[in-house]
Amino acid sequence: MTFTRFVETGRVAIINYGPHVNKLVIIVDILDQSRVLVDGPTCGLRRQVFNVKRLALTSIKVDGLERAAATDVVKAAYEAADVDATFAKSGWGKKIDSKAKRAALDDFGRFKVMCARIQKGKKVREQLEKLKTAA
Amino acid sequence: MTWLHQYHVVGRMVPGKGGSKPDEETAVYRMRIFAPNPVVAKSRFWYFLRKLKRVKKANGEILSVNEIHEKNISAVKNIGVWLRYKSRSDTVNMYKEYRDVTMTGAVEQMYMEMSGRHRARWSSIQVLKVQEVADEDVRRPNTLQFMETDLKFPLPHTRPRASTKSKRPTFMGSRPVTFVSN
Repeated sequence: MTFTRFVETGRVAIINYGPHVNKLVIIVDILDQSRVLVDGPTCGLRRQVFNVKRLALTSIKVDGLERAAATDVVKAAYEAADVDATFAKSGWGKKIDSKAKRAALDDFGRFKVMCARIQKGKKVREQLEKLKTAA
Repeated sequence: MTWLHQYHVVGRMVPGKGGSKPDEETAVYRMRIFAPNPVVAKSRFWYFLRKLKRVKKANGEILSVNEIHEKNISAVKNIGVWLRYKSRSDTVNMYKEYRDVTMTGAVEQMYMEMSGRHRARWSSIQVLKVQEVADEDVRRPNTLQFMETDLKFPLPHTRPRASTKSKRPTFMGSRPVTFVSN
């Protein structure tokens, strides 16, 4: 079992605690084993120190960045690597998105979700019965 | 998070007091002091000045206290802290290095470390000098190891955490998974 996600320059991480929760940031420099300097090029977070306890590392890494690169350089590389879209497509990104959508639903929306889930369960059961009789 | 500030304190002996003549231009002294507020900063100023010069608060006056706001707080620096502290048996001089974006941050780290490693409190520590250290002058192996160009390390132990304090569970049904191998 080897590690593939590291605290390193160019690693994209997601904030998992506090007011900026679920924002994507990129590591631009490392202070020590517990703190890093991050930039949030698209979420509007200015360069600041974050404790790694408040970050979760993603599988995305922006290559070719030097340590402590300037904010505009980081931003250009981040946008060229299409980080936000890549993350949104990943399972993790989809889950965050769906959670946010569910949370924003009104009462009628929640009712529609309930109906859809009943329909889905019905179809699954029908298919299961078919497979059972075929076997 | 930050509880310390950096102050520039200027003071002198009041002319006519402490043996000086009324029309004498007494020497003006200035210091950079790390303190939680200007009141403590002034107090530390008199504490240091009466050790260094024959001027004490009773005969002196503070001319100004200004906070120093550091520039470029978005770049990581190696910061050297020279200090002196009273241990249980002796007075010890020390040099410590920290990596931080501000000097105030480095001094805060120093107070935390001194309290943890040596059980030394604020009252027994004197900050003598705080200075940014150039890369080639860094001495401590712990600082050096974080200066490598291609530095990278995994996070083998992380605690899953609720997104806000209000969502923190009091009791959990199962133990958390702290090791993530990918």
